[in-house]
Amino acid sequence: MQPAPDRSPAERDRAVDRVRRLTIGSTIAGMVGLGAFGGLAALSDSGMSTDGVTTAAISDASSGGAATTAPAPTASTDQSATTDDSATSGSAATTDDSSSAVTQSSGTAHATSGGS
Amino acid sequence: MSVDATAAVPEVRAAAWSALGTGVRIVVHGTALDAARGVVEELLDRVDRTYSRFRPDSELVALNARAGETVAASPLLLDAIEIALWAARDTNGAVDPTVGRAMRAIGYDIDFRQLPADAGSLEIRLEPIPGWQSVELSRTRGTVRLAPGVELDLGSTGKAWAADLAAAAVAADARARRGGASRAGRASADDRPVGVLVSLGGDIATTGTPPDGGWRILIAEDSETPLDALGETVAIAGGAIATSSTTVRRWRRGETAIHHLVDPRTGAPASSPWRTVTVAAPSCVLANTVATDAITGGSAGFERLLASGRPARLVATEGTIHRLNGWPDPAAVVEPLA
Repeated sequence: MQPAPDRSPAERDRAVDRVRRLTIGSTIAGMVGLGAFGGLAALSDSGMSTDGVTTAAISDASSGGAATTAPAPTASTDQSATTDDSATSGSAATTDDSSSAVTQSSGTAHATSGGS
Repeated sequence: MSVDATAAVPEVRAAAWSALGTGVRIVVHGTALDAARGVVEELLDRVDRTYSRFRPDSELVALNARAGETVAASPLLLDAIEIALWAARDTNGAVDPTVGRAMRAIGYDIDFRQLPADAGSLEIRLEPIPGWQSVELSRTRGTVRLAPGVELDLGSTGKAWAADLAAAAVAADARARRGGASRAGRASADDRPVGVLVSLGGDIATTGTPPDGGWRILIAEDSETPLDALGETVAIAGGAIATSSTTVRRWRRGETAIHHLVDPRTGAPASSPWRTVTVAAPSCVLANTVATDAITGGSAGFERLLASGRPARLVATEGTIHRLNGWPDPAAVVEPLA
């Protein structure tokens, strides 16, 4: 197994978050076609990005010239499958750390987080 | 279906049921609970049909059976695999989807609910897993090729990502419904904020506006712990919380206790100083990846958790609780003077 290159925490967060946003867009857009949702306009809701309406957004990002440095995430034979961190741009790729701050609370919980 | 009004937060409604072999809970405000449940049920059904390892008719099972061939994959499966490959790369292989064969080798080859808690001894030939580099994924061609003998298990990231998807889908549906009502000229109270929480087996994603005081999350080792049980409750204004634990999904084969978190370096259940790790992050798949890495990634995984800056709560095997990166310490609470 070849080791992945060292990356800063910010870089790895941006990378995972970018893929997540892109794929969420593509999946929900796919469901719209099945009649589950009312329209693509809904994709602009909090936490989502309209830049991921199609899966092609991933390959577009890495083939558009901005992508030059990131190693392929897979042993892919197809460069278009290479998602490149450096192609990340704009607010859609920004990880909002403030949203994951944890504070103490009390009272009945809305949900339980535990192993399953 | 159980529906309850969560106390002290008006208009917050919740529903709970089972899917994907685990407990599902949704909590919403500002949108209809029934509609939200319908969206989540449909999404989880698609997820189950696409990448369940235990459904003989799932797309993932078919892909695993054709290792060595280039196989056309649905967009959802491509996405799920790409997420998993990113997690593997991000953790230097500690959270790796090519553990499918290793999971079968340790006896986890059927839905956990059907797995006998204690069965006869099992002779296991342990071997390092193939690694995520043995997967070729082409976005442009919409294909995946697994190297011969490789089997994927997307359970680690798949459930967390499904929670992210479900929360986003409910919010998207709520907006679409409001748009439709507005276009139809129907008056509604639709300037209300919308908030959504989705928990899949304790992997929790949220989106939109939280209730007053935030989303209250009880932290436990078992996601089936009742909401009003004594324990540590925290609040988040958004983002996600996920927990990985070796204390659940455990079974015995002969004299050996086995759990489901496989160390990719050995192919065996991970031996870790931590039995349960909970992490908060902007997305559930990120939180789950960091939490699982802390258990399966050894000291390097723990170092990555520290460096990530993600608030985390770790339970050592002997029960000691450690809180890192800003996770609040209950002992630090100072009651104001009257």
